[in-house]
Amino acid sequence: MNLRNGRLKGYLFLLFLILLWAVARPKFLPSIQSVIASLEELFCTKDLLYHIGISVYRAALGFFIALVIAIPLGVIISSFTPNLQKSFEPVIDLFSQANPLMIYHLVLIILGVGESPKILMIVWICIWPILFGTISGITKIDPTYINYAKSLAITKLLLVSKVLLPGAIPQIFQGVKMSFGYSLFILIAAEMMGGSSGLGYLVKFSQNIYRTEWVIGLVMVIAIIGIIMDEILYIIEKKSPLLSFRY
Amino acid sequence: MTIHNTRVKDFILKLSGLIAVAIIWEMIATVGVLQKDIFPSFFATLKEIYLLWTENNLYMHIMSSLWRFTVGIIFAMIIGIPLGIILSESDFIYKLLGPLLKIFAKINPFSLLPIIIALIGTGESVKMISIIWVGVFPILFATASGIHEIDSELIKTAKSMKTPFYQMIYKVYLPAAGHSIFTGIRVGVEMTFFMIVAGEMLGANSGLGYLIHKSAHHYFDAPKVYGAGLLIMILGVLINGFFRHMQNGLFFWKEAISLFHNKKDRNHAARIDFPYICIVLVVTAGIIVAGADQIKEAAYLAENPTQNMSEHMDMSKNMDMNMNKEMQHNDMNHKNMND
Repeated sequence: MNLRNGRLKGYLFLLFLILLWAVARPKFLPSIQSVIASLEELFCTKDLLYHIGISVYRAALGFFIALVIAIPLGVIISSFTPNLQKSFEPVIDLFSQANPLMIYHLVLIILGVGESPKILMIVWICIWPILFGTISGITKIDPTYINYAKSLAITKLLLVSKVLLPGAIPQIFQGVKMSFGYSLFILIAAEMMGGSSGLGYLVKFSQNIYRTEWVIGLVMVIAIIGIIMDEILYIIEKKSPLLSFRY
Repeated sequence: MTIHNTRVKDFILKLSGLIAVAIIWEMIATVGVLQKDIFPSFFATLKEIYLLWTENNLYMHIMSSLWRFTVGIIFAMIIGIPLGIILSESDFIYKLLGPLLKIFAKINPFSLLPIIIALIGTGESVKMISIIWVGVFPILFATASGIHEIDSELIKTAKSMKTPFYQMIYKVYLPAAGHSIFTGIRVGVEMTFFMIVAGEMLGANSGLGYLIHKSAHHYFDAPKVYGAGLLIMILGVLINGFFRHMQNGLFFWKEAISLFHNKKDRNHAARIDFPYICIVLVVTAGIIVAGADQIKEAAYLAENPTQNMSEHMDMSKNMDMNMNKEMQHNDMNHKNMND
C-alpha cells in the first residue's frame, strides 16, 4: 500500500477537514482564521523563525552526535566474543530503558541549565535505535562475506568500511528512521520542561497564557516539520540504491 | 548434562555484566569524581530503596505506574488493532486517512494539554488519554502494514471458502500478521512507558515519575532520584523482557527476537500454552484491581496530607507547647531586665 501514489488524495482530505473546521466551528477548537492570524502574529512579533531554527538546530545536532557515537560503538560491540556479548546484553537492556527525562534531571544538576541538558537528552534517546540497528545489522551479515574478505588478508579498517557497514546499512537505516522521529518528539518535551527558546518553550508559554489558538498553530507547525523530516528520509531512501536493497 | 551446564553458564554470564556495572558505580562514587550529593554510591541507593519501601509507600507508587501502564496498553490494543484492520481493508480509506494519521502520530500530547483539559477536565483521564494516544499509533501502523504483507494466496483461499468477516480476522489476519502486530505492540509499550513517566512528572500524585520529580524539584535528594530511576529501569527491563518472551513463545516458528544472533543457541523459546495465558490474564487483572485501589489511596493522601503523620503531629504539638513556655519564660526575663 504505497502511500505516495495516493499522496494527493490524503492531502486533499486534510484540506477538506480544514475547510470543515472553518465552517463547523467546534466549541473546543478555536476557529481556523484565528489560528492563521495567530501564526502571523507569532511570525512577526515573536520571531517564530528564530525559534524554529533553534529547535531544528538542536534536534539535528543531537541526532548527528548520536549517529557519530552509535555507529562506531555498534561496530565495536558486535566484534565482541560471544561470551562477552552474552554478559553485555543485560547491561545494554538496562541502560536503554533509562528514561530521557530522568537523564534530563540528572544532567541539569551536573551541568546546569542551558543547551547541554537538552542536547544530551536528544543524544541519549537517539543513540539506542541506531545502536540496536547497527548491532543487529552487522551480526546478520552472512559470515561467508566476512570469511572471504579475511582470506584476502584484509585490514580491520577496510573490513569495517567495505564489508560490515555496507552490509548492515538497511538495518542501520531503519534505526535512523526511528531515531529521527524520536528526536523531534523528545526535543519538544525537553524544551517544554525548561527553556527559554525553541518551539517547545513557545508552546508552554502559550499554554501558560491560555492562548489556545497559538498552541494549535504551533502544534501544526511542529507537525509540518515532522512531515518534512519524514519526506526527506523517504526521498533519500528512494533515490539511493544502497538503501533500497533488501535481503 | 551439557544443556544444564550451558544454561547455568549463560545465567552467570548475564549476571556478571550487571555486577560489573554495580562495581564500576561503586568505584566512581567512592573515588569522588562527582560530588557525593549528586552521585550516590550503589549501596546508598539500595538502602534508599529499602527506606522508600518501608516508609514512603513505594508499593503504592509502583502499583500506580503499573496500573497506568496496563490499562493504557490494553486500551491502546483495543483501539489500535481493530482500527488497523479496518484501515487495511480498503485501499481508498488507507490513502485518504494516511497523512492525517501520520500527523496525529507525531503530535506530542503534552502540547495539546489545554484542549484535552477543556474537553475532559483534569485528573487521571488526562494522563490516560496521553498514554493511550502515544501507544495507539505504532500498533495501528504495524497492524495495517502487517495485514497488507500477508500472502494474498492465503486470503484468496480463505475467501473462496466464504468465511465470514469476523472469522477471517481471528483465523487468518491475526495469526498471519501477528508477528508484525506484536512488534508494533512492543514499540507501543516503549513509547507508553516513556509517556507514563513523563506524565507523572508533570502532574500526578503517585507513581515513579512523581517520586523523581518530587525529589529533584525543590532540592536534589540524590539517593531518592537514583533509586527511583533504578526502579524505573528495572521495571522497563522486566516489562520489555516479558513482551519479548511472549513474542518468542507465541510465534515460535519465527526467528527469536534477540540482539545478537548467535548461531549456537537456537530457539529455546518455550511454547506458550493455555495455562500460561491464564496466569498472565490473572496477574493482569490483579494489577488492574490493586493498582486502582492504590491510586485512590494516593489521591486521598494528597488531599489529606496529615493522615500519614499523625504521630509527628503529636510530637510537634508537644514541641510547640514547650517552645511557647520557653518563649514566655524569655519574655518574662526580658521584661524583668527591661524593668
